[in-house]
Amino acid sequence: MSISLEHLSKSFGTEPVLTDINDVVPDGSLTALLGPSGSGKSTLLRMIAGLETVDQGRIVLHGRDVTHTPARRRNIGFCFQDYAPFYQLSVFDNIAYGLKVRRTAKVDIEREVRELLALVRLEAFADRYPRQLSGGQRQRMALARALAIKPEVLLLDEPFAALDAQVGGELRQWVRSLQHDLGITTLLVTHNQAEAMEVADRVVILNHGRIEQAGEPSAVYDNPVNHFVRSFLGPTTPFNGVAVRPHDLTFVDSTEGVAGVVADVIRLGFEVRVVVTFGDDTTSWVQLTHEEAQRRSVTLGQPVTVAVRR
Amino acid sequence: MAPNRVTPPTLPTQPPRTGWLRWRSSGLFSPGAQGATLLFYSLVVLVPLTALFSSAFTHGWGVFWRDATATEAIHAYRLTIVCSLAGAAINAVAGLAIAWVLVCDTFPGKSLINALIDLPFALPTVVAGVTFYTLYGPLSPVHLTLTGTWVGITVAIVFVTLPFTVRSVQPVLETMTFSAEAAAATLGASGVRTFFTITLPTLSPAIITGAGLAFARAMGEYGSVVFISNNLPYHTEVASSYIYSLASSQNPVAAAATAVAMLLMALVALTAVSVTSRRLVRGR
Repeated sequence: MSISLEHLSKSFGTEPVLTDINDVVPDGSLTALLGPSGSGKSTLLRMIAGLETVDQGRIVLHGRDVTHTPARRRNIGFCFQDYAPFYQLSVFDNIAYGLKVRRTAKVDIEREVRELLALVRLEAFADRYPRQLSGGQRQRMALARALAIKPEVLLLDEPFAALDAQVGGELRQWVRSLQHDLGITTLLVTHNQAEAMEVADRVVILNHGRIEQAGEPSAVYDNPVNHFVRSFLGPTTPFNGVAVRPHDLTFVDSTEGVAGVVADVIRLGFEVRVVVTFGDDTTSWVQLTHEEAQRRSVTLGQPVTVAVRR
Repeated sequence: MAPNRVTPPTLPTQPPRTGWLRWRSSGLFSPGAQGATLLFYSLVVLVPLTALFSSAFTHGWGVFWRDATATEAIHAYRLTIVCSLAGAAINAVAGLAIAWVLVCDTFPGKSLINALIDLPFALPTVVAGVTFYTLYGPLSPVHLTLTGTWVGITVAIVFVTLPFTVRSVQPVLETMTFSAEAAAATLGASGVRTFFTITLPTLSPAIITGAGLAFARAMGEYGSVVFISNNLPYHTEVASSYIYSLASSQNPVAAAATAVAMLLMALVALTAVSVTSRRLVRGR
């Protein structure tokens, strides 16, 4: 199911939140809506789900105009940032909720919920209540609940933001492989560029309610259309009057570069961050691997020549 | 030259207590404070209750049972319980609606209305009683006479116990994010279904607590209902009024016996409320 967004605009009062959004989310893809907080990405996701009204433009799901269709008739799976569990219902009944609304036969509900519990690895937790689950388990329950209605599209709002780094990282890989297996068109909102690069086949970068750039993660990373996208997707450092990636800088033995002095050396695991001060009092930082730094025996006060890696 | 050796600073054996840890260790929960709390509770609550019980059983169990189950008393209990239940039920619905409007809507004069909610608590109940007698009494300006009816008594009870449900539901509503309601919508549930399956269960412990307090308060209501009820023994006499008539007609033992019976009924009601709301919050 592809999602077409055509000239979408939205304001809260006089405050424009989204301006002329145009994009097509391809069928079966996992697309990340990436942007800083306040960029309008969550509002856009809620508009697609029908949880926010559309001021202008159209939302088309695989040829079906759903712009003014109420949320409950869109058949879209939505996972909320706070997981929005039904606290008074057991895990089983949480997942069964959408099926009961659809008047599914009791035996079918039982079978489908058991399958979903197995899918999200919560078989042992069917009779627990949401407050007895950890954050990662609640997230998986919310995912199963959303998948139960066999949605045409899955929307995830900051699905890993509330989890600690390790659980979030594991869940990220699991969601990616699950999405791949199910082949369901998925749109994920995140402010974390590493997360977007890791899980998505496609990223859409939003800033101030406008799409800055959309495309494959590596293509966008390598060819950012403007300074915002470049600096948002990864660290930059000023060099020779332009912003470059610190890992694109290196030390050279020839004189085809800019001469400076090592002002600081910071070891960060396998990488080493070397701060270099140049004659004109500007500063860059150069990202080397630990091996490179050792080979050059980088020390404080050492004169070096910096150039862009070729 | 060898570098000067610096003695490493000795680490504090315990991190400094900050925030609530320090507050907790401040002695507020020390045995002495517990003793003082229990002493205060005994003086204020247990001593009067003990006096009441000993008065009720002055002439033994048989006389107590005769007084507590006198036909006039039974009629008074029944009327009191029916009107209190009706009042609590009406306020459970009305209180929820008022709290909802006060939290979720914006309209001019909202903060004034919010402040006025507690007025029934601030007003002497006799004032409420006189007001209702003027409004719905024999000389009713709106030509609606409710004196001597259980409807009239219930109207007075609804008025004096209104703040309970409003004030118990309001803070719960204020902290709700309604994302569960949005989730139900994406799963296909209608607004009505979402309200009854998601919102109401979330609010029900607060509603039951508020309605339970309203019921307990209504059981003992005197000032607001004494005029509108007409006080006709066996018909429109509420329990508090019956107890007052016993006490003022030189029968303090029977008054105490009836009071003890009322007390036990209120205790049963409050226990039922607490058990029910605890069962409702299971799993939370």
